[in-house]
Amino acid sequence: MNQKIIICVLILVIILSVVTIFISFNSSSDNLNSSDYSIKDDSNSGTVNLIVEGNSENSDETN
Amino acid sequence: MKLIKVLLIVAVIFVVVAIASVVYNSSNFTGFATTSTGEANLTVESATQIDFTTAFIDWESGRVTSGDTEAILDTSAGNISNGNWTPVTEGFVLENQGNLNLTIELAAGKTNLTFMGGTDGSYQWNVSNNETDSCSHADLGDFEEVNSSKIVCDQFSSITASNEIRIDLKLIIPEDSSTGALTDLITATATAA
Repeated sequence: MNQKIIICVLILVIILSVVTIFISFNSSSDNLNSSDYSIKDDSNSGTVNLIVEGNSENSDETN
Repeated sequence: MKLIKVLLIVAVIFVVVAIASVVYNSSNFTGFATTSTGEANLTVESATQIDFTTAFIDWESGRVTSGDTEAILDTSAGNISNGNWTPVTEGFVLENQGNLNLTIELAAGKTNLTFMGGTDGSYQWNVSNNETDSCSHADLGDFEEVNSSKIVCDQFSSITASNEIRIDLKLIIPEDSSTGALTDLITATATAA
């Protein structure tokens, strides 16, 4: 009878140990939530405008 | 009796491993005082975002003064030499509106020949800080011929007081340049530094 009780206690200790190990490793992976990030490229443009009238010297030559 | 010995050994091994894993995962405890912890979660997104807050340079209409061989249009000096175009006193202003330091690559759509043609013309840009310490780069503050692809800023700051660079343009328009409406596009591309 005593032997059965000892066996039951030992099995219970083993089960509790396994559960403890499982919970312990799971909780360590929960601490990685803040590492999410997103990186992307971006581009934007500016415009240069001017109007060149017929230059006077060109006009002179044509005249 | 033999079964008990085996179970005892297995139990001891599991207990030791369990204790080790608990100690390993709570390595930052400082004593035996009882503590209770709460957990706050958030995600800070990183954004790469740039914007030309001054996006147009328009000298309007003009021509090289009669008797001169070229005209100079310069946004950094804010004046026109040997021509009657409308002076432009501000270059492009590019702002880092994200929260990352960026590398900026500039690209002009045209060269001086394809932009205005003629002989001995020049089409130059000059990148400088519009806000102090916005950017560091070897060529900062110098005019150079535009390029189809050039990194002009290695670390473009995202700090609000230091997140603006200015891109000035200088055109040397020869007397035999193309005439009519001339236009080009300057594109800035940002990547996380």
